[in-house]
Amino acid sequence: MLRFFNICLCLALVVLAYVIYQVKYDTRTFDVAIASLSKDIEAERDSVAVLRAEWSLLNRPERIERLAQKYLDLAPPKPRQMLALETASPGDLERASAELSSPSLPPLPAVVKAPPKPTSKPPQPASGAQKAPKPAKLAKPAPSPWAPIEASVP
Amino acid sequence: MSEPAKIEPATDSANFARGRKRFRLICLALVLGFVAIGARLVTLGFAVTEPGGSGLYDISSTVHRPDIFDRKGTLLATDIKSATLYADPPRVIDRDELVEQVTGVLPGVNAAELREKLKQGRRFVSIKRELSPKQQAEVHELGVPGLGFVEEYRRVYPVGATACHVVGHVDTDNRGLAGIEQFIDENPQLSMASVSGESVTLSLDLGVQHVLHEELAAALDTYRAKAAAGIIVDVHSGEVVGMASLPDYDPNRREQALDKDRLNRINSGVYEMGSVFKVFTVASAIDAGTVNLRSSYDASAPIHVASFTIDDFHGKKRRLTVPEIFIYSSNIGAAKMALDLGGVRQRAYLTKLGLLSRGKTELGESASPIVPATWEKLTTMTVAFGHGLSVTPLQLASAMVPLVNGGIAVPLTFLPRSREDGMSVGTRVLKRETSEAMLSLLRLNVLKGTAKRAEVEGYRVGGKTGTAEKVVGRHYSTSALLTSFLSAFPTDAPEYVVLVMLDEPQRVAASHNEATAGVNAAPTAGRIIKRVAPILGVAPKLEDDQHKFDARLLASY
Repeated sequence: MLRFFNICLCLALVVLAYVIYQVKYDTRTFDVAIASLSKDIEAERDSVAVLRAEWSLLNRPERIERLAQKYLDLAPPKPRQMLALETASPGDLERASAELSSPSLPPLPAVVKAPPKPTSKPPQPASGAQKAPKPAKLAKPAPSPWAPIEASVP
Repeated sequence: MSEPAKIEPATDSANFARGRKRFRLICLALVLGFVAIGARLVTLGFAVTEPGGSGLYDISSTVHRPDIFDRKGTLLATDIKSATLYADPPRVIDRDELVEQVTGVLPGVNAAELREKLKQGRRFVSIKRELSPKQQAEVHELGVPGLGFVEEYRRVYPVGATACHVVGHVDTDNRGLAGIEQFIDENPQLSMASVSGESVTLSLDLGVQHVLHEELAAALDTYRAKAAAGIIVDVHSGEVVGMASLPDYDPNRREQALDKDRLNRINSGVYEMGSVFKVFTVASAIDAGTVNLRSSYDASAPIHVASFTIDDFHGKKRRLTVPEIFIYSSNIGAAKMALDLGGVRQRAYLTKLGLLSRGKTELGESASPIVPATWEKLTTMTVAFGHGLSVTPLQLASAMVPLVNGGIAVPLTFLPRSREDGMSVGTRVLKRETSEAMLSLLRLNVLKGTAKRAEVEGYRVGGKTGTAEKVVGRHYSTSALLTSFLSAFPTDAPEYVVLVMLDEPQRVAASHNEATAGVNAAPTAGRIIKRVAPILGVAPKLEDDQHKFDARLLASY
C-alpha cells in the first residue's frame, strides 16, 4: 500500500516537473516574443516620427505656396469677396450671383462665418486658407504636384 | 524501529544507537538542503523576467525631447533616431586598417584625429554622429572588429528657418541651447503626454509665421536693408502669433546660429526706435490729462537746448494740434508735450509700460534697455521722440498692447493663452478713454499722415512710423537709418499688434528713392497684415457698407 502510494507520488512528481518545464519554456518564448514585439513597436514609433517629420516638411507653407502658384490659378480672397453669413443681405447675394454670371469679374465670393466677437477665438481658416484648392482642379490628373519634393527626409 | 537485542553485546547496541543519531542528523541536513533549494526555485519562479533584458535593443544615450507644435498642431520640431558610430580600442585588431576603411566610407572623418583618439585607448571613441541608414549599412558591411553603433535621438526641424528664433535649437547631446527648446529643459512640466508621446504646443501660428518671414525677407531684399525683424501679438491674450528676425539660420544646421549677425533682434537687440515712441508720449500726456485731442502746441520754430537743436523732419512751421503733431510726426510738438507732462510722470508711464526694465518671456530675459543715467529736461524731450533711450522691439510691441486694448498691460507669452486669461492676468496701466483716443490717432495717421502706404482695404490698420538715425561712431548718421512701423489692426476693435523694423534700408527705386519708414516699413507691415488677417480670422469690413468708422474719424478730426 505504502509502496503504491510512493510510486504514485513519484509519477506525480515527474508529471509536475514536466508541466513546470513546459510552462517555463513557454514563458521564455513569450518573453522573446514580447521583446521582439517591443522592438518592433519602437521601430514603428521611430518610423512614425520620421513620417510625421516628412509630412510636416512636405506641408511647409512655403512649399504649398510655391506649388499653388505653379498648379492652381487661385489668388488670395480680397476683402470684397468675403461676406459674413450672419450679416449677408439678399442684396449681397444678388450682387454675388450677378458677378458670377458676368465673366469679367473676380470669382465667387468666399463665404466666411462671422467671428463671434471678443469672448472666444474666431473660427480660423486653416493656415493655407487663402489658397484653398478648387476641387475641380484637383480632379483633373494634373502634372504630378509631388514632383518637386526635395530631400525626402531631413 | 527494531528493539536492540539483549543477546547482542552492549557495545554493538551503543554503536547502533550512535549510528542512528548520525543517520538522523544527515537526514536533517539533506532535508534542510532540499528545502533551501526548493525555496530558491520558488523565488526564481516568481521573479519577473525583464522583457528587454535580453539585450535585443539599445537604450538611447541621448535625451528624448518632447515634440513642438504650433497652435494649429503643425509639427515644428521632433526627434528622429539615428546611429552614432563608435570604436572600442581594446577590441581593435588593426588600427590603421580600421582608420582607412572607416574614412573610405565616411569621408567627413578626420583620419589623423581618429588615429590619435584610438591610441589613447579609452573604451568608447565616438567616430561620427547622426549617420544615415545608408552609411550605417556601409560601415556594417566593412565587418571591421571593434566598431559598434549606439542609437541616439537627433532633433529635426521640418519647417527649417521659418520659426527658428522662437523654437531655438539643441546641442549635439539634444539639450536645448536657445529659444523654447531651452525653456522646455528648464520647465519639464510643460510637456503634455499624448498618444504619440510628449509634446509642447506654442502660441505661434505657422501660417502667420511664414507670411511674416517671407515678407520680411522680401523687404530685406527690396530695400537692401541689413536686417529686418517683425512681431505679431494678440492684444487680448498677449500671445505672440508670429516673430521673425532676419538674417536667421536653419536650426537643422546649428553651427549657423553662432553667427552674430543672425541673433534674434526682437529679443536680444536694443535700438533707439525714434518717432514710434511718440505714441507713448502722446498716450501718457492724454492719460495724465495734460493734453486732449483739441490741444495745440506751437511748432513753428526749432527748440534750442544747450548745444542741441530739436527740429521737425516734416516741418509745418505753424501751430499744430495734438492729432497734427502725431500725424506729421513733429519732434518739436512731442518734446513740448513731454515737458508739460514732466520728466517724473513721463518716467512713471514708461515704467508702467515696461519700457525701462528688462522684459521676461519664455525666450528668457530680453536684452537690458539702455536707460539714461540722469533724467534731465533734455532727456525728457529727446525720449519724447524716441532718442536717448534704447529698447528691444519685443518691449516696444508689449508696450503697444495697453494703448490699443483698453489700457490693460498683458505680459507677452509664446505659449497658448485664452483672451479671457490674458485680460485677467494683465494690469490696468491706462484709462480706457486714452486707448480709444490713441486708436483714432493711429488710424488717422494711416488715413492722412506718414503711414498712408500701410493701408489695407478692409482691415482698418492704424500705426505710427519711426525713422531713427543710427549712432555711427560718435554721431547720428543721416544715411544709416533704422525704420520701424508700430501698428494695430483693426482699429475699431483691435485684435493684433504688428511691429516691423528694418535696419539700414537704402534709398531704392521701390521706395521712391527715400529711406524713411513711411516708404519701407509701413508698406511691408501693410503687406503682412493683408495676408495674415484672413489666417487670423479677422473679418474684413468695407467702408462703403454700414460701417462708417473712417468717415466718423475724419469728421471728428
